[in-house]
Amino acid sequence: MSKRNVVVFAATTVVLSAALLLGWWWATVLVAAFAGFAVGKVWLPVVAAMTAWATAILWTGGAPDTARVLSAMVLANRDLGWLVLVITAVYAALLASAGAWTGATVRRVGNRGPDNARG
Amino acid sequence: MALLLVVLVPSAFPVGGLPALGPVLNPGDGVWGRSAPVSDEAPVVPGLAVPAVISFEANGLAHVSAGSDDDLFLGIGYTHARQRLFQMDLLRRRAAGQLAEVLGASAVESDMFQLDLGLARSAERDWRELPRDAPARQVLLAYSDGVNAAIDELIARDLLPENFVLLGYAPRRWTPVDSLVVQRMFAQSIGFTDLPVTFSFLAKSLPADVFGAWFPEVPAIAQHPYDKGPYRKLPLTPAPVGADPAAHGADPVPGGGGGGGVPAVGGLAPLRERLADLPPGTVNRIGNSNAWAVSGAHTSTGRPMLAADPHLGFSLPAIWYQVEGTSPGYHFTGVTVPGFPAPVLGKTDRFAWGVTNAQRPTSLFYLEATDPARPDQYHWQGEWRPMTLVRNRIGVRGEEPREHVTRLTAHGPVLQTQGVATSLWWSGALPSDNLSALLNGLRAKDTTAFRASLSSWSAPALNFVYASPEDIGAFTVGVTPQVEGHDVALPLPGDGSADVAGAIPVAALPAVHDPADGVVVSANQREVTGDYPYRYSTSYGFPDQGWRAATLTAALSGATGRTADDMAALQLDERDELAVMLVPQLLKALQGKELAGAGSDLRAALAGWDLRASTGSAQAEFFERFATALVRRTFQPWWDQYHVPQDPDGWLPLSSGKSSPVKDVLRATVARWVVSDPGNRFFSLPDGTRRDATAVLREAFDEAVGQPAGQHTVRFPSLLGVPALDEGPFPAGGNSRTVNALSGETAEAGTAGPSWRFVVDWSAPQGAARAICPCGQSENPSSPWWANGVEPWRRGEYWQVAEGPAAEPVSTVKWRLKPR
Repeated sequence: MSKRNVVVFAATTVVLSAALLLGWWWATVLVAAFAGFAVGKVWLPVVAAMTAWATAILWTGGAPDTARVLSAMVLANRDLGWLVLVITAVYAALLASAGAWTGATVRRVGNRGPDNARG
Repeated sequence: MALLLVVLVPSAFPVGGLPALGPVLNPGDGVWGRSAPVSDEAPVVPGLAVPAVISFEANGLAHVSAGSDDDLFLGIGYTHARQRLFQMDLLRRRAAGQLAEVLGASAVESDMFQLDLGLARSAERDWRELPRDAPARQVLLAYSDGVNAAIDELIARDLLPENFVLLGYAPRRWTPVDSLVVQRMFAQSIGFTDLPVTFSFLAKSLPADVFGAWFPEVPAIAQHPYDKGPYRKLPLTPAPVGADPAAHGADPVPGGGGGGGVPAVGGLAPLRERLADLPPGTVNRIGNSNAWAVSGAHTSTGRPMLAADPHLGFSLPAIWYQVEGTSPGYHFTGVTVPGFPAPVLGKTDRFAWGVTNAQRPTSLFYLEATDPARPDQYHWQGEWRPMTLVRNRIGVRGEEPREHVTRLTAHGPVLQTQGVATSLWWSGALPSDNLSALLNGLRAKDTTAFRASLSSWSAPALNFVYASPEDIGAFTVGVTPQVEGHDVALPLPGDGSADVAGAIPVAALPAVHDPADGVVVSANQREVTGDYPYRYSTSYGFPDQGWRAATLTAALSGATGRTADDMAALQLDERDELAVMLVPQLLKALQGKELAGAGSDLRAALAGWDLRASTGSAQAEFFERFATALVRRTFQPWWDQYHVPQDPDGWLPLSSGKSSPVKDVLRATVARWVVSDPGNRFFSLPDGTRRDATAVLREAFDEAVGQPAGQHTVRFPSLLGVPALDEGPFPAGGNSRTVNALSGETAEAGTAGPSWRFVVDWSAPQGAARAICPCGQSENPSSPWWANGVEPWRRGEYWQVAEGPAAEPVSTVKWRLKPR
């Protein structure tokens, strides 16, 4: 992984973790879009965003307990807390993917230039 | 772009019943992190005058210690809200008919009913009429301040219960009216009954002499009233014709006089159907509570003792929150209802008390005379009158608001508009200042003052049983409507001929103080004998026939050297008095009968049975089936003969497996016939075929033998109706007739019983108490205090009540509240 990628990964994780702790879920899309634009890839912002979500959830504490209660309320089974965590991870990945893909696409379109765009 | 939309839309907006995912799942203020354990804190609490301390024991029991009386109730409000805010919000919303606003269309029926019943109307009137200088006003304001301080803090710290997040709303500010409406909701859950509606089907189907024989005024089995007389007949106390604040004797409609009205036609099936669809707790269906006191002559210490266990529907979280309160003017320990500041049961340093439901009817149903040609009018006292119309707007989550019109006659709200308009006079709608009564009671120096303070109690009708170091006693409180010449336990004509004429004066209500035998038992039995000079309860006006009172009276009378352990053991007693009556008769009836296989085994098992409905007892399980079969075998032919109709709740069909007050009364009636009138004509068939008790006992035995065995269980349902959060079902003993009661939708599936067991021994200067609730102090399923009382409760254990300095060493968490 290039130095640039490492920096973007770390910055994405830190910034997004802080934003998530403030309740700014929509920052996932924005930060992932910036990261996608910066590195031109989708996978890196997605992994970074999921790391940020995991960090923020662990930071709040009590994740397993909350997951168990949510699984009881939503899935009618107290033992499916792991599934709630999986669903949350998938949701975070989708948010990040949407942002990262948009960012990466903008970068690609920009790199082609007006002449290339005319074809 | 499509991916962006697909992800962002459900993130930002609710879709398909799901909440908006972004706000719910985000780690900052979403559902994560709301399970933070309770730990030491030092919050700044606006409204607090001087520092206060709230401490918690390892099991979650709370102690609030404050420097002023107002601060005490502020502290209780703060504690309630920190531990039970979502439950409190549901309670006030449900009571006031605002549930659909957050739960959606499924709650609209409940809201319409509550708006008709008018708890919010009554609570608002009570608040308006509470004098400016009344201590209760100060207490309600302080309590509200405490709740609101907690709401602000929970919002600021992103710690609102996760249910708020999932439903996507934040609680509004708490007001004194909210507390008063919660108080009335509690009164409704234990004091509003529809038994007159149920029994109206029978009264209409059966000839009067048959109805009287099956459903006598005084229950058929031996009664143990705590007030045995002599009684005084005093003039009635004035009571309004209409209890609801919006009900009044409207002026006649101009030009509409005369005509004589339209006789009530049709039945009450629509009302029955309406009531059957409402959530549990809307209508009281449980009549089981125990409270007793014994004098020092019966105890090992020479000092009185009290035991009390109110029986209610179980839920997690429960309706109770146990707290010790200490301030310059108060010191008490007891159970409070989250949303209401004062304890309903408990103890002070001078006395302890328990409560049970009193028997007398306080829900009167009026069949109004109406005419389709005169919409929204009713005929009363010889004139056509306009109904009062109250227009309500019901907010519905995700839908347009609905309009609902509440109609009121002079008697109260019209609960059934289809067919015969049926209105309700309910004592729970009367003006009430129960909080002042309770506060005065908490400050009372002795039991005489305690009794006097509660004389103004309006509803629900309750028995208070008390014990102090010096004395014991019991008394009933609550307005008792009297109607001349009519049975108030059945629907009444609404034309003015059966209006409430007044109430039994407080001085004539059942009461006993230091009885000669040194024993006071209140277990929902009829409190007085048949000589009582006022119209009182009937066997069909209240769902208890007096079984538990018989067990308790037998166990306590004449006994000496009783200890607190004995009192606790008696709370767990599962002796079944119906079995005591019937099993010897059944065994006698089976003598000489050829039995093989299961029948033979069951006869042998019954012969060796201790007549207790213990956990796992095959005999108890069989006996329940047998008792049901006995009622069916005896009465079903007559049921058919008189064409008794079905009802939406399934209470009337004798073949139904549902628990039912109708069957409860019939069990007592047939048991008495078996024992003392074995040739009763109703054992025979309507076609003249002769049968006697022996023949019917044998038939019932054979029927029960042929049925599959079940298992008695107890379950503690989640208040949210989320089965995965329930505790249980667990194997359990007890039934609706045993002191350790258990009841539910069916005899096998118990969901109601002793909601708090409480024993106080006055040998210690300030009383030594123990208590247990089958619940936990917290509403948070992730909390160690969620359902931690269930297991000790099931094992018959108690938690010691630590008070004052004794609470200090057992407290593991402290909140040191600081004034702003």
